[in-house]
Amino acid sequence: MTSARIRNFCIIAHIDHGKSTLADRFLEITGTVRKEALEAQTLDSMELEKERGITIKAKAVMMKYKADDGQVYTLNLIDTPGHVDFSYEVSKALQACEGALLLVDAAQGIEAQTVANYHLAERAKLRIIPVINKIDLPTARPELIEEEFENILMLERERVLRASAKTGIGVKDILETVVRDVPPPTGDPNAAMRALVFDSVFDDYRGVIVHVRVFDGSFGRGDKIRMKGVGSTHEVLEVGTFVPGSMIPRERLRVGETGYMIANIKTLSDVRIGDTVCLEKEASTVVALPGYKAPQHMVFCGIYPTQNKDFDQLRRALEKLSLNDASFSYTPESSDALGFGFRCGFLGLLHMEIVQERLERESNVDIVQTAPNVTYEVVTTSGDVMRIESPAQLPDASQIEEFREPVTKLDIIAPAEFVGGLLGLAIERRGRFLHQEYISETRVMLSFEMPLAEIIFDFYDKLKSLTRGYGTMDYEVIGFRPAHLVRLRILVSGSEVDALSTIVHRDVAEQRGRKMLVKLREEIPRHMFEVALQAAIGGKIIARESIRAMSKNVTAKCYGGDITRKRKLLEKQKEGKKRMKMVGNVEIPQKAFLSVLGITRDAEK
Amino acid sequence: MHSPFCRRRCSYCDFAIAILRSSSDVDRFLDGISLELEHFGDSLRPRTLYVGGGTPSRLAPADLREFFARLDRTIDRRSVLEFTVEANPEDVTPDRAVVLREAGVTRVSLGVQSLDPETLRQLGRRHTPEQVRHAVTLLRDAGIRSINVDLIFAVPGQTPSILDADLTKFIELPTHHVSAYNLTYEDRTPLRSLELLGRLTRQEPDSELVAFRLVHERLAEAGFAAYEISNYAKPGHQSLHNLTYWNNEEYLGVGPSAVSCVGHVRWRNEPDLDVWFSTLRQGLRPVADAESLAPDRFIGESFALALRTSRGVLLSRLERRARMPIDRERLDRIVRLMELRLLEREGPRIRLTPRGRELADCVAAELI
Repeated sequence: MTSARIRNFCIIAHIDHGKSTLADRFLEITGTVRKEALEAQTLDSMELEKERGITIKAKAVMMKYKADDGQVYTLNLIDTPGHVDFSYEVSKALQACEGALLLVDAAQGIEAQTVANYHLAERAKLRIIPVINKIDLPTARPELIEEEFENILMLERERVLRASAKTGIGVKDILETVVRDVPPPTGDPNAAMRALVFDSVFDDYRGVIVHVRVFDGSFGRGDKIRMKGVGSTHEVLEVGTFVPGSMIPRERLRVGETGYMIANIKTLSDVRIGDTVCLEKEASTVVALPGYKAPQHMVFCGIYPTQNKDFDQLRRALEKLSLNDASFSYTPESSDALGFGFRCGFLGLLHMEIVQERLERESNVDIVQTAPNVTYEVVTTSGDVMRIESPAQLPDASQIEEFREPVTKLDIIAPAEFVGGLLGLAIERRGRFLHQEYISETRVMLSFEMPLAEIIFDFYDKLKSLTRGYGTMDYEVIGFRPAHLVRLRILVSGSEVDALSTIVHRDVAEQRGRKMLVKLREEIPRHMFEVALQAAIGGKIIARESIRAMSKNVTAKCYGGDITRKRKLLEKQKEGKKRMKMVGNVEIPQKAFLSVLGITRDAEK
Repeated sequence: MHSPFCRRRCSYCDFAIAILRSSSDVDRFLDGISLELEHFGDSLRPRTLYVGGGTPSRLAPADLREFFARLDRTIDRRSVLEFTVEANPEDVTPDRAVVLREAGVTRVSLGVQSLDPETLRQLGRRHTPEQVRHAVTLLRDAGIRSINVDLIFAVPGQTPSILDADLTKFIELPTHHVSAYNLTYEDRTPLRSLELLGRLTRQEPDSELVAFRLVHERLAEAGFAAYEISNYAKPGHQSLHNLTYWNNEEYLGVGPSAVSCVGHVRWRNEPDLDVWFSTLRQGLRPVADAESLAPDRFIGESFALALRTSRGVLLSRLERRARMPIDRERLDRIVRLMELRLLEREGPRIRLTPRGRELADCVAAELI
């Protein structure tokens, strides 16, 4: 087989626009899997992915397709994660392809994430095939969607295919278009071997299974290979290709092909997505494939066991999780308020939520998650650039020359009637309006520059409620910008509570500080004395609250018959105090920290 | 001594009481007291005697006389400095006053609670203010040396001015001692049920504090010194008996539900009259439960109790009685409570400040 009859392609689609159903139809038509053997959605193997209707990890499936021209083609369908938190992984999956199906729901229309992924595909120079799915729906409006394709993506109406993955209408046309329009892979079969790592999964029995796309040459069992970026060397034990549910070993993987490699690699952290695999003996001369980056953690939060004794169990759970997800990091930290736990780094907000849910589901440990913060940059007076992942790492204010925060380009697509509300929300969140574009008569795409910190703080919930669920958003970190950021300190009876300090923009510091104090006032019980609560920037108090002293607490009658009962009550009262955290003279219940630091998650997200 | 009989249960009461139905109940009570005292031999030499309840004054004059006679069989009365009997005002008749005097009673504690008819009704008390005045006169005429009246404040609906008027009437009575209790809502009392049903609303802590301060202020002006959180006395009229509780000293209790504390062991009698009696009839001690106080617990408890008194705690004496030094942690807490001006030093003693009295349970929880 020559690479002329190979087609590597992927499907770009918003959640629920029918990507998995379409993939199932492809498997059925090509005879890769019999219909009755199909799991509902073969490509989404993790339980969690099924429930959330999104695909977290990319997979690749090989299909044989006899086209109308009588030739048999090898179609490699590479599955991509649907969310922008994984945009680096998406871009690497795209890099492994020559074509992309841009799938849009005939009733829903183009969503913000579709636009973002379309631009990624365009940047990767893929041949894009627009498809309107679900045309069998009574609410389908394919003409309107074609207009959106034209207006927002500059794709000609005539090229747009219509299909229903559910009924099978138009699906064969899609495969024919793939064969006809998507270019075969290029590459030199005789050149030094180069393969792109576009994904990896961990298998309990076989170690890391590396997903690769061969760009030049070929390799197979017994070859000594080198990971260009990481620098590690391994001996290849097996190569092969995927079919749903199993792996088919092959002698060699050749130029243009996608498949897997097993090389006795023990942990996922030894494999970096985007890395280049080459032969050990040619390693010094081979030029790496472009675009390799180490994972960037933009969002951090603390994860603590609610019971201190569960710390080890939590550590084991995180270890296990990181075997399957190399893009999340965890390091032990301790907090005055919450005890021992971990500071965890994520690609983005959705990634954080996925990790937290998996932890809860798979580990049996009750965890507390602190409100997330973003990564900051500080330029010190001596000219060093520090990355700040936790307020505790901040140098003294006098040593800060410049304070920078990550800024995103944020795209929102929503019905036009909500534009006013959205502009208000964006301004409130320090957004800078860039432009607005009507993608159809009734729907608008708004673009902003907005600090990431403002997005991770319940922005998505606000957007959803403001647009009655119709708004979608997508963001991409475009860089760090100087901003007037400050460390907001919380003082209880004059003593600083480290665990409660946060980094906020100066303009919202007072408001944020007051909110925290109000919550604290509700949760800290009245004491024998008045408790002062203060929010401060440096030495300057910007908000204050106080908890009045308890008015009266005294047993009226205490004679012989009352003594034992009274002592037991007092002992119980004393026991209760032991579970509180002492800050100076003040006892703060764990619940108070949770209500200030914790976030409440929205189940429908 | 616990005499359990009452005519009916008051709305706030959760004590072990028995409604007096037949004379055989009284006979069993009297026989039981005799049996129980016999356990302790015939040479008890107490400093104080206290007959409480229940309502000892519900006993008919003849039964009351018989009760005192039985005490005399085992108790050497020469050592007794104070002999208190509790009584309801409506029970104080000339007959009973004579019995009390003849028995050598030195102190009578009257369950007055209020002199305001509406407040009395709220509390489920049957007597009138007139009956109270009459009782006090009878007792004084009978030569009872010391008269205490109980007062309950912070009753639902009781405004500061109603309480103030009530206090004026209390002060006008020619008595020597006032026990002033903030109304409490104990589980399984009629009062608590009414609260749960939403038929009454207890006073806010802030109003209770206003009432507490008003009581203290008015009684102090009238010459009643607070020698314990809820107890006020004219000079020479403190209750020696009750001070033994607050000083965590030894006492023997007899009768159903009575509590004893001897040698760091505390026990409580069977509360039910029939169980108490039948146990004694079998020649057994009618103990329902007992606990032994380890030194650390003894120290903690002693702080909680003795800080209720105006004299407070003498640390050296407490250490001697507990046979162990007071630990570092408690001493640190004492210092901290002094910094908060809830405790203060008075010579070698530690005691509550006026503000500390209002938060006595918080302070006690620190040191228990």
